[in-house]
Amino acid sequence: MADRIVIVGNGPAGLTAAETIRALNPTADIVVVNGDTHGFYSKPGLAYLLAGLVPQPRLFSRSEKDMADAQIRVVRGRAVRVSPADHRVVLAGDTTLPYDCLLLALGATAVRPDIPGISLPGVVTLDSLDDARLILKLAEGATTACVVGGGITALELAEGIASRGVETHYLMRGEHY
Amino acid sequence: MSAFVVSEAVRCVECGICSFNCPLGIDVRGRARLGLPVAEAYCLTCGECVARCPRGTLRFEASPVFKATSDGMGH
Repeated sequence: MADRIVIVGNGPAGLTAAETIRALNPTADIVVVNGDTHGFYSKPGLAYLLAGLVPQPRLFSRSEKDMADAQIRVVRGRAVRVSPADHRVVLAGDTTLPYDCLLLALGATAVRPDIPGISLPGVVTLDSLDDARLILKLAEGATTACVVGGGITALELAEGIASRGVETHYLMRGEHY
Repeated sequence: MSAFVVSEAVRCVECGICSFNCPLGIDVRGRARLGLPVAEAYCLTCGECVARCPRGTLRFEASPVFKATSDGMGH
């Protein structure tokens, strides 16, 4: 069984994988690469933070101590390159992590369509806690908002903003969600 | 019939709404994300976590401890 396991991504997939591998292999060296500046929080839960259904501290599902107790090492950084030939992941700043087994649990990020005005102030995406904080700040003084996207995040985001009393328009390409 | 809260782990996004709304402060999310039942004896089965989970992760399930049996003695 592989002894050096590197998991890139600290979402539910990466963390669940780390905990499951630990349960199966008590001696493996398990490293989770966390590219976020915060700890281990629920990204799908950000829409519920915006809706006021859950306070920010409750989004954090695991503490640093939880990870240490499970003997899962957390490395803050952003993976920029994989070198399969010599089994190494390279992080920004040239830190390298050797691995026997590599799991990429990167999730997804919002796509900014190439349309006029996409870079104007007030046009935002929701991928991180910092994004959610920015949206909350924008919503405080807003009277109208527009949410674009046909996925569950966009739908929940529209619900969340509307629940704050902001007149919200929801745009999607298809006729039905 | 007595019941307790069970979870379908693959639906859980670990948002924490269940734990936040538990009036007794039970770590419901900690069970839900692992697919474990909320087995705390002091759980009120009030249904707050089941009703508020936005992803349909939680549900009530009848407890086998109190299931009716043919001889009425639990055998």
